[in-house]
Order: sequence, then structure tokens, then C-alpha cells
Amino acid sequence: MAPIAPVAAGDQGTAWGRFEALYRASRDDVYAYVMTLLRDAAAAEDVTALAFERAFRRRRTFDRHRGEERAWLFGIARNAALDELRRRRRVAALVVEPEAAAVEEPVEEDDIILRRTAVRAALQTLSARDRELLALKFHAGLSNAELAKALGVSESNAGTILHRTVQKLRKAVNAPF
Amino acid sequence: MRHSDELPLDPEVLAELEAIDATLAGRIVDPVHSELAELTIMLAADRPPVPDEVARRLDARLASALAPAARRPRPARRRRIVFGSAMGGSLAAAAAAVAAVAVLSSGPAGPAGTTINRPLAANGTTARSLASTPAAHAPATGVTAGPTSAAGSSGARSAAGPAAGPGAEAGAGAGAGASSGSAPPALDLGVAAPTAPAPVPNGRKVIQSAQLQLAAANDRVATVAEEVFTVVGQVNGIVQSSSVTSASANGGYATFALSIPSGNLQQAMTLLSNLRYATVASRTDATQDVNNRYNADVRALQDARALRTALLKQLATAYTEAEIQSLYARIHDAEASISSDEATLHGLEHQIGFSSLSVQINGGPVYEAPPATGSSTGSGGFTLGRAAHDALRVLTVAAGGVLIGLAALAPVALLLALIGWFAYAIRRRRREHALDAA
Repeated sequence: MAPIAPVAAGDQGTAWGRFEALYRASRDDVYAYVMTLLRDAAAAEDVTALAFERAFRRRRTFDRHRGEERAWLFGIARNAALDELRRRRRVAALVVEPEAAAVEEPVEEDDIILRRTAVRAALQTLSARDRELLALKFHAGLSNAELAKALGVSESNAGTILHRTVQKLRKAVNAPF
Repeated sequence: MRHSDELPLDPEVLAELEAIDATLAGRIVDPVHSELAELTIMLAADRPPVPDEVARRLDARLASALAPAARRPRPARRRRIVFGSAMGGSLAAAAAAVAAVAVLSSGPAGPAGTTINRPLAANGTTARSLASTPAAHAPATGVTAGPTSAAGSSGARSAAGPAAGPGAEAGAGAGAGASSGSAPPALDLGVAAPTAPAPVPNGRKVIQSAQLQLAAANDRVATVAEEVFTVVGQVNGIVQSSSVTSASANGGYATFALSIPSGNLQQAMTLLSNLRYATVASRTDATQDVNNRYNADVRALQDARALRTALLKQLATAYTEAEIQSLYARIHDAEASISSDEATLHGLEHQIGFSSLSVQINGGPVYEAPPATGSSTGSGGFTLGRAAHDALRVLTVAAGGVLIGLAALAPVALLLALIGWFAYAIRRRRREHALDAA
């Protein structure tokens, strides 16, 4: 897969071709979601790779009648990320994980910078479950149906939870320092 | 959460969710939701980017990990084929083992104790049918030929149900009644068992009787009854009474009270045991030594005749009317005694000369193999009927084995499913807990 080339016409119908297309379309989204959840670049990379490996090995378990491929993929990625969280809880006392490498940010206006800082600060006040939900929606770009499938809840329930979480974030953003 | 599953979304909530989706899709939203749209843009813009180096490493890792597997031609299917081959081989071996066991256990005479019927051949098949079950066999006690008992002796050979073999003789001694033999070791299936023991013809007077219970398919009871009549005619016997009841359901029934010349009793038993559409359910042979009783009756008759002769001589020399009348009376008594003794002796001789045979046919759902074509020699040759029977038996045994296996596996599978479900639930709970604790 090193050269992630466009899928050839003859490979479009093969399992490998379909998986490659899914990988290209979802790699960045999965990484962003896992990174938000774990806050560790190295772990996010490992978990992203692990999620795609699992997805490829379990590709025969995918049932299109039960949802889209992306929702199924993010279900796998979520399980992998939660397994990583469990593992980190077990070794947390022994290993101090390094901070994620700082990402270079483009130069922005002060107002936007302030606003972004407020949003980030508000995000930190949310629970991991809320942050995960926001990551799935705003970083991974899942639709509400895909969100529901990945979380294992109904679509209306997913919408309700999402709205409630966004309201929490809005309150946190607008709260006085 | 479950409660909110069943409730439709509030219109205001729905509008805000649609505003989020519209913002993410790059569409313009209602100014009412401008703050929400701005927050959405902020959140989306805060998405962690994938550094180029990380992207390259991810591509390389997945290429090295998955590409070889992807290049393999349908590995899962091949595994399935291999698995299928292994399963097929195992199943074939199991089927072969089941077939071998079934064939070996059925043998030429069928398994011990089985209720599966098999048409019996004419010759030597009494032994065969008897040998198909654990046969009752006990050492003879000299009952039928033993002259030791002064008052006569009696014995009975009984083989009931699955133990329809040559009966045990028992009950020696005066007044001993018929008794059943105990369960003996099974006879060698490969050797034709002897016919039922008969009294040794040593000149002693013996009364023989027998009871035979046959099992036949319900719709064959009448046919078997006809065959019984035919056998009785062949052995010059007499049907003293008979009752044949045919019924569509289980309940076909027939009884016969037969009188068979004692010399033909064994032949009759052999023929009746080998009827085409019946099997022997039980057989009882009984004997009673009446030699002494017979001799006593003979002597009594001789004495009565001698008395009558003596009285007649006295009558010839009598002179007085009173003496003559007295002699007449005594002669009359003597003649009555002679008649009585003759009747008794005649009855006893009839009992000795003709054996009573009770035959009972019970109808039931008995499997019938197709009747053998041609001469029914029937002791081990290969016929299409027998092959079909064996094949059916193998299939029956195999199906039974599969059923037993399924019955045994069902609880195991249920248990494994429960364990799997619990493991899944626990793992899911732990994952969610890890998220809550993060």
C-alpha cells in the first residue's frame, strides 16, 4: 500500500480495491478522531493503523444492510481506541507519556485566536465521552446515522446526545473566565 | 437513553442539528444559528491534521501488513476449502465408522435385542432367529428323559422376547411345574443354533406342550394367521380353536389352540418360527413325564378287566338268585370301572400322542423387509433385499448418531453462546468504562 495510488478500474470491484478506497477516504478522519480521543500522536498513529488492519481482516463481517462502511470502520476504530485507553490506564503509573508534538498553526487574527482558545479550553472541561462525540461529528465528519451506528445507539438518540453535548460546549465557551 | 429512542426530536433541536450539518457541508445557515455555525466551524477547523510523515508511515505500515494478505488469492475462501476438506474427511471417516459399526452389529442375524424384523428362512432359521437374541440356555436336568422321578416330572423351556433362544429346561422332580429358564450367554451368531430340545425317545410316556408368541406387522396378522393354518395342515394337526382380529391401527391379534401330533411338534414349531411375515417374540416348550401315571392307569384297567373276568366265572357257577344278582351288580361296577379306566387311559394317550400348542400373534408396527425372492435359504447370502435392508439400517443408525450428537451439542453450543455473549458484554462495558475514566 506504500504507493496509495488511485484505485485502478479493474480493482474497483475487488475487496482490496474497495478497502483501499475506504482507507484513502477515511484515513485522515480516523486519525483525527483517535487523536482527539487519545491526545497522543504516536498512539493515534498506532491505533489508526490497527483499526484499518482489523477492518481489513474483518471485512467479510461487514453487512451493508446494517449501515455504511464508514460507520462500521469507526466502530472498529472506536473499539481500538478504547482498548488503547484501557491499556494506558494500566500502564499510566509506570510510563509518563510525552506530550504530543506541537502542530504548527497558521497565523490568524487575534480575535479568532482568542475564540479558538476559548473553544479549546471549553473542550477540556467536557468529559471524554463528550469529546469523543464531538470528534466523531466535527473531526471525523460522520453523519448522525453513522454516529449512531458507531456508538451503538439509535439515530434520534445520537442526535439528542449530540445536541446536548453541543449545548454543554456552548455554555462552556460562553462561561466567564 | 432508551427513553429518548422512542421520542421524536424537538423541532428546535432538529433545526440546530440541521444547522450543524449545513455548516459542515459549507451551506449558508439561518442567522439565528450563526453562533452555532461559528462554533461548528471552530470545532471542524480544530481537527488534528495528519502530518505527512505520519501519513507516509501509516501507508507503509498498512501496505506491509495487508498487501501480502491481499495478494493471496482469496485466503479466507481457501481456508474455508481446507477447513471444508478437513471437515469432509472427518465426516467421511465418522460415517465410515458408523457404517462399519452398524454392519458389524447387524451381522447375518441382526443385533442382539433388536426389534427389527427380518424374514426368516425356512431351514435352520429357527436357530437363526433364536440366535439373533441372547438366548436362554440352561443345562438340561434330565427332565424330559430322566426316569428318576416316580411321580413323573415336568420341564419347560422358555425364551421370551429378546431372549428367544432355546429354552432352559428346569423343574425336575415330582410335581415341579413349568418354569422359565434364566438368561444365558448369547449363542455364537455365526453358528446355527440347534432347534428346541425335544424329549429323548426312550419309551417313556411324556406329555409335551408349547406356546409360541409371534410378532407381525399389523397389516400382516391375517396373512400370518393363514400361514399358521397352512402349517397345521402340513403337520396333520388340529385347530381346536382360533381367533383372528384384524385392525387398521395397532391391535391386530390372533390366537390359536392347536393339537399337534407329538411326533410333528418340533417340525410345527420350526415352521411356525419361520413364517415369512412374523418373528418369534417368545417361545415356551414344556414337557411332563407321565410314565408312572400311565402305567398305573394301565394296571388299574388290567385289574378291572381281571376282576370282571373273575366275576363272570363266578357268575357261571352261581345257583341262587341272590348270588346271581350280587354278581351282576359287581360285574356292572367292574365294567363301569373298566370304562372309566379306559377313558382315563385313552385321554392320557391322546395327551401323549397329541401335544397342545398355543400360538399367539400380536400385531404392531414391525418393520418388514421385502420378502426374499426365490428359495429362502436365507443364512447369509447376499441379496438385494438384504443389501437394501443393511443400507437402510446404516442410514438409520447414522441418523440416530447425528441426532444424539446434536442433542449433546445443543447445550454445549448454548453454553458457548452464553459465554460469548457475556464476554462481549464485559468487554464492551470495560471499554465504556475506560472512556468514562479518561
